[in-house]
Amino acid sequence: MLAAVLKKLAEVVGAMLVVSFIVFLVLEANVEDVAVKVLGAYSAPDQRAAWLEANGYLDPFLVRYVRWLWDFVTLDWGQSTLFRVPVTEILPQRLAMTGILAGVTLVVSTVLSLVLGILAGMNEGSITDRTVSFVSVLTTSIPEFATAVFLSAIFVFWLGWLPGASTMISGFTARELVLPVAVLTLYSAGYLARITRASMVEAMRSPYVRTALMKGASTSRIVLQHALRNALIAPVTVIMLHIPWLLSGVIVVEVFFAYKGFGTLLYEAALNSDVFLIEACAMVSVVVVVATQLISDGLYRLLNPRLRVSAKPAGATA
Amino acid sequence: MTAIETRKAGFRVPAVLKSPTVVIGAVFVGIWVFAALFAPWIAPYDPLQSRAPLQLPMTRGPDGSLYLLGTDLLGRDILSRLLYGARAVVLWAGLATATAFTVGLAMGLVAGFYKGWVDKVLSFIANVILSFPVLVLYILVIVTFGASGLNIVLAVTFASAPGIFRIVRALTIDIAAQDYVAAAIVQGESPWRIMVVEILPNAAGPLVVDACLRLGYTTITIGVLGFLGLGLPPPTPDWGSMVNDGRPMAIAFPHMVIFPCIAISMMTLGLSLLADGIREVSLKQGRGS
Amino acid sequence: MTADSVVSVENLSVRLPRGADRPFAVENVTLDVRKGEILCVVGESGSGKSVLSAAVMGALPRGLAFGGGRVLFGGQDLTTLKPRALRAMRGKDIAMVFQDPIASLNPAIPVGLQVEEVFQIHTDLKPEERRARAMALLESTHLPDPARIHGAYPHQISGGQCQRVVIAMALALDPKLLIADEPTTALDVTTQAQILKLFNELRGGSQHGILFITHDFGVVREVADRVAVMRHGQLVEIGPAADVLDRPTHAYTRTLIASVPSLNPPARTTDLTAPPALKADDLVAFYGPVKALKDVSVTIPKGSTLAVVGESGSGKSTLARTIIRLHEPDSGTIAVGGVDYTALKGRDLQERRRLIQMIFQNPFGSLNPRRTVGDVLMRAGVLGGQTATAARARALELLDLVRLPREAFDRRPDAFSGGQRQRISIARALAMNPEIVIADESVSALDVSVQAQVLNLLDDLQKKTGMTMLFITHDLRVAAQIADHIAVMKRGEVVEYGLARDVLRRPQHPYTRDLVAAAPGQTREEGQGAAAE
Repeated sequence: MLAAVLKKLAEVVGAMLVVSFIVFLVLEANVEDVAVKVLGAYSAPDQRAAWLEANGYLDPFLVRYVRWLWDFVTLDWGQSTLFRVPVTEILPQRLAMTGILAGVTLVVSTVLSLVLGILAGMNEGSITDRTVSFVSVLTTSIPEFATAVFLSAIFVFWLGWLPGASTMISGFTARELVLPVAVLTLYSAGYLARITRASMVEAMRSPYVRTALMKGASTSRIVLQHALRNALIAPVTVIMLHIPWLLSGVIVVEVFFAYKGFGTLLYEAALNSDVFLIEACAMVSVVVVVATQLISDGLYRLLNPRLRVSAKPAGATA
Repeated sequence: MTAIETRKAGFRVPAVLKSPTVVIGAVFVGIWVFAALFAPWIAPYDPLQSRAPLQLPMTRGPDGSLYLLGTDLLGRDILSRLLYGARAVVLWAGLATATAFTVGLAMGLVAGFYKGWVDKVLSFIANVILSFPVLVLYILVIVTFGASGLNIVLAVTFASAPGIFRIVRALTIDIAAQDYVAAAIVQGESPWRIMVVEILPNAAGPLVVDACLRLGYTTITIGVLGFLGLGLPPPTPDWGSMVNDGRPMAIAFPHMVIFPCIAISMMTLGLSLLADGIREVSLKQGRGS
Repeated sequence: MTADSVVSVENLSVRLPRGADRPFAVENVTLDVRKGEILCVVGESGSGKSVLSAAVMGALPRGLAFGGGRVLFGGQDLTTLKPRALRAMRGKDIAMVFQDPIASLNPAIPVGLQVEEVFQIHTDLKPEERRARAMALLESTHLPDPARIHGAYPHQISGGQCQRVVIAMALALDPKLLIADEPTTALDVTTQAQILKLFNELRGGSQHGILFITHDFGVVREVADRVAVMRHGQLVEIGPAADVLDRPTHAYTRTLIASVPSLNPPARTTDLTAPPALKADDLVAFYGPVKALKDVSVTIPKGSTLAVVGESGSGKSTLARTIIRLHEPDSGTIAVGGVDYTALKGRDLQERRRLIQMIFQNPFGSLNPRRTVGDVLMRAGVLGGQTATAARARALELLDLVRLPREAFDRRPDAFSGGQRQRISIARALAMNPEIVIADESVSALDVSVQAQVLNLLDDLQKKTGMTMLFITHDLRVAAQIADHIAVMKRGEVVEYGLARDVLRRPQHPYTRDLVAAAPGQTREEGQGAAAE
């Protein structure tokens, strides 16, 4: 058990190192480029040379990578050229804003998708099942920006119920959060509902549900006591693995609604070639993804008695 | 005993076409593939030509020409742009998905068949790439190497090949455990022939389903990149970029963004329905035999 | 319906969905189960015996529907009962034991709680009482250390123990009718013997009747008071066990009983003085962390058959896969006709592969569904060194040899039944003109009548071609039919090795004695066999 956790941890750290190396390679292999991006296109060549020298850019590539990695670990993330402040000053507040958006979405879509998925999977082939399946195909197939356009057209343009932008300039308001959350939820809930449904269908077909049926158990008992316990293992694990997907959606939705979160920050940084800010954003998102993988792995072990209890059979003889 | 059971093993293609899900999906996708193929002949106007700015749908411009879906800020006909935009989507999404599939398929077959260290190395690479949020990866690649169709193909291949690899690998491991593969090994059959003749045809069903889904994802990706202003360079009309262009004036002229959104939604929904329908039909056939 | 019958099935029919190969899964069946008896319903696959058991439970599988007749239980017709009333009955008055014991227990709930659940559903017992009753039940099914078993998850106990738990659960409320659907099929033969013993205990003095579904006439002999034989959904014959088993009136029953392999087959006439075709010495192989083969040595004289017998986990299949180099040995040698087979590598190995060929267990997994039979057979011939034309002619010959029509050449596997597929597999193995053929549980998945045919075919082919055979099986009765020598394996070791007759008649190792004793169906047959000799 401990060995398995350590192995997973080692894998994750290894993956993060490789990813960080790729990020560094892509963004900082060409030092001239870095100088241009940091000092601007109109900087003089000798000015750039001096900057490169002063900042250790003439050292060999690997030395620079190790130094960069160390700076990253010690939270020295450099200066944003776009905002003209240290990256560490601007990133946390944006992350917090995205945390709110993603957190609310996660809660809403998890509740919604589990309920719908269970209702659909309980009665394979029923009207509920068909409806849920169809709606979830619909919502997961349409790209987020299109959903955002459609919802805005209805609720902003036509009905005029909700604001079309979520800048939160005059402080945080829940009203401005409704549309971004709705767009993200439609996509992720559909996906999760499908997984929950499939898992539930599989459980309802299993021999142990048949056993329970033959014991005279009621439908509610079969669903709640027998099927659900096994059917929830997959979706709960997937919820965590779904967060990276959510992160991609968050970027689109934040840009669409001008929501000042991590996604718009990354987007602005990318458009303005703000090298250090891009690096920081990329690394933060990788850390988030890896953390969710670890949590998902842990949850799976916790939920599955086969893995939780020692693997050794208690009595091998009949 | 010696008589052969003649079971009516329904022919594959008609069975698929009987499913309403598949038919609707195929129609949705087919419309845009048709548009992509014949855009020059069916588009009413040149998609790049400025005619009359900000015409509403179903109106006639000052010169009397009809704009079914209206025109954009620069006066270009939206219907014509949508039809030509289908070319960009079908071409680049198709090319990118095909490349990603080729790479993922080759890697997955090799890893799943040989296992051992080859598998460990390939799986690790796949895991590393998969621990990037896809969109961050795309943005990184496009920002560094610039926006072009070819770079989109590269980025999509890089980002989706690992996912395809995982599926192919799992299927290969599953099929390689079948006794008919063992029989081929025992006969001294060469590894590549085993992969191509024994394993691949039996993985085809799930792979076709996955290919439909991937094509949908790639279409979305190209749309999203266009929407973020990182897509195909102008003036190539592509649906995502049309949404991006129309967004500042969307409140007053929603037709500029709604029609491209409908187009891309039809395409991706069609592909999802195709995938779903094919999966359902093949599951039913599997249960039948 | 007699006074002491627990349930009576009257003219029951169950309709199959449209498009199936016949209109009824069960057709016009009449039978009853009486108090204190075990009624065995026996039949081959597709006979409708399992559907019958489900129908008696009032739980038809999806797509099937009642097509007439009644199932009378305690004065009520179960086919028309409302779900609510059925539910109240299930687990209390009628209980069921299933085929796969591990899968039929919920993996996420300790087994003791699953037994207690029956009381929770049907009674108002307090938690302590429920626990005490569950413990008592676990104890009554002879489970060791009931307190520990009570808290264990299904994956932590063995298959046999799981089946005891399921039986305890079924007995919880002393049901009037117990339905057991192939309850020992998934178990090892020694475990099966113990579970059958438990069923025999259940009958004594009790008020319930047991409906016992099985495909195995050996099992029938062990437990049945009365026997019902089914075929294609119809009841062929029903009567007291002694009558049906020893004086069957129906031709089908006679064929079935004649097909059951006996432990006392007629003597074989193979020449055992020939030089060895295969000689494996001190094979050691690991299966994951488990040492699956511990210094195993076997020798097979040319043209003879060695059967390796063992229960699951004995290493018998690893032995087969190691000899054929699908699994790499850690040490030891395999000599095939003077070639050191273990030392072959890469291309050399690929070219010599044809020396040893294999017939696999699962008829549905051993043929590529996408390739025609002709393609498979011809390719085997070409890999064996023939030209395409020669391979084609040989493929057609092989079809004759395994008694399949030549039209089979252009068909794909899904046109064939399990027995026919095994014939194709045999033809594929022979297409390479191998020195040695390994049959890994090759008849285990087949119905008993088909099994007998395939065994006959293999025996025939050996006489015609002089091939040497290594036959892997869990079933001592099957081994007795075909083997010249028998090796008994247990936990990776050969515990007994000798002439087939010696091993079967005078087993030396205690484990072999257990196996011989556990082989079902000989309790009464043995006596007759002796009398007949």
